[in-house]
Amino acid sequence: MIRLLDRTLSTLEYGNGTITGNKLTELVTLISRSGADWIEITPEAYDLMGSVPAGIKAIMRVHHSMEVADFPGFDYYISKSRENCDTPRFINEIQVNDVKEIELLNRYQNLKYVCITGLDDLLLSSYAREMKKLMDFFGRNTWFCPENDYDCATALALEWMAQGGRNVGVTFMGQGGYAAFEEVILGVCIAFRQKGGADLTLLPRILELISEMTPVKIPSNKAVLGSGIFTVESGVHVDGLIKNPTAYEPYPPQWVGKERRIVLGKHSGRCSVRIKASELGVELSDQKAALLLEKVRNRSIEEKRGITDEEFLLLLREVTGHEA
Amino acid sequence: MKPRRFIVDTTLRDGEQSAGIVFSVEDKVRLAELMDQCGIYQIEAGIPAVGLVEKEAITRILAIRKRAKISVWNRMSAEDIRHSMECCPDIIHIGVPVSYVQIYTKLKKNKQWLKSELLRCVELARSAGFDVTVGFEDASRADISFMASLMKQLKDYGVLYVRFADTVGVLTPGRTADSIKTLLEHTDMAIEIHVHNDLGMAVANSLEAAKAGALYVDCTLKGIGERAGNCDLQKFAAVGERIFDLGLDKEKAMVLLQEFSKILRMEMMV
Repeated sequence: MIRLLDRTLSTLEYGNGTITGNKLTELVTLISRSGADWIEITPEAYDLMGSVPAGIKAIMRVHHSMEVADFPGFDYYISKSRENCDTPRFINEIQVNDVKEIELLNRYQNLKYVCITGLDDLLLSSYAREMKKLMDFFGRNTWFCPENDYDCATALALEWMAQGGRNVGVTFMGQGGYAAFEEVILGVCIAFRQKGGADLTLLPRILELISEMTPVKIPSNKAVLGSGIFTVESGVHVDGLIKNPTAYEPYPPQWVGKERRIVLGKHSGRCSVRIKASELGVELSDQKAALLLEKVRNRSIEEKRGITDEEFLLLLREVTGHEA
Repeated sequence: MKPRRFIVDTTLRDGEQSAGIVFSVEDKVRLAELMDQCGIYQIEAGIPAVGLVEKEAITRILAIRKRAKISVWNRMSAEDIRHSMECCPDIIHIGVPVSYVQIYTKLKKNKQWLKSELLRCVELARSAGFDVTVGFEDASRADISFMASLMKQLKDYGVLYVRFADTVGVLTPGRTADSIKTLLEHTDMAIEIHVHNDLGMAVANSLEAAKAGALYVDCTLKGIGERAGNCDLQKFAAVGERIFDLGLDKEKAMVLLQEFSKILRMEMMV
């Protein structure tokens, strides 16, 4: 059983007026429906929301165990205070910045619940061996929240699960420098065939909500979320996708609330121009498709970009004698 | 001393295949010049079969480079390879789909046809005196024993090394390492790793492949490439140089990245 702890709320900056209780309530509801098993909540977020939405398992971040009584009813409490306290369901978060520090962690074996955060350089070592050490110290139910200084956090989160770890901590888009929720949940679906009930079509709405609350800019090729990740130009790929989408797509775009889009440009092939012409009600002969392709490629090279629909229509008319 | 790994930059080929990205001939030549200066081992300069403009870029790159090897990409097609031979590159790279989904549903052929067609193409380029590398497309979803068997034959045909491509970006580091180690154990060929970032693991998978013994690592500037892109050179170098000698001059690499930012329409790279 793989379980994800989403810590996005702990990375937000409160007090600027853009974060409201309603938005936070919608956000935690959507992240939960997208596959998170727990939502980490801060006192600031809790104040704004007033309560935790029904049916959502939440972990409250506190400074120390004394604060636990102020927030009754949470599934767990998490703190960096490193207390061996009697408070039930109290997770001690331990920051580990270097793989060499793992050996020293055995002194914390008396702690009941542990969350290991950091270890961004773990992949540079024999990570499976080091993960096993952590599991020997603290058990498979230890939470692992890899940090992303080396762009390996998503991989480390998935490898933790591959090695038998059950709980990982993530944030949406990797906010705050952690593994990206959307990448990890999709990785779990694809690599481990788990989390079948996760509704990933909610990811675009989550992105909208986060964007309303905090300044985020997202590259069009950002894994899972980017606006251009299912836009295809290459002739080889379009041809393959038409015959069988699984040939060139790791998962159907609809899984994550997106659609495939075929565009034309320098790398298009005859298949693409035929599809685009057909959408406009024109069936092309081999000769005309080849001629049109040449014009599309030349225009794309001239303009240093893809071809717009309007430009394609003009080129199509040139080739077909204005009947398009 | 750190073990050596070699960077193959495919910005000008796979990177340019990102929808909407087009480099002019001048752009390509300038970027290749800077890649050469910063120590990139091999530059995949383009696809000659695309046309005359692409060929012009490739031949100009060949004329100005000092150290980097210049390779060109081809489908498994004699016609494509003839286009490439006109450019006289250092390496003719032939891409071949090796997964069953690619062989049976895209090509609508079988393994025997694939093998004979591939060897025919390799022979065409080799008999004209070119060095050849072969790219196993969709290798991450392919039968490992089929790939090992192909590699043994390719070795006999004089192919330098094989590219293991995670075409749809579904590898994890553990699976990457297992695949590379298995192929290295059962063949006598060097391996180049080529991954995509669909699950956000391109850097990690490239690193793990290099740790497992892959000698060549494919990267692009800013990680551009199909869908979610390829392995980002800058990000890979940041972690890879901790344990490998990548042969890169950091200051010159920064100049390359700055120039690339100017050239590329950067709306996707905020």
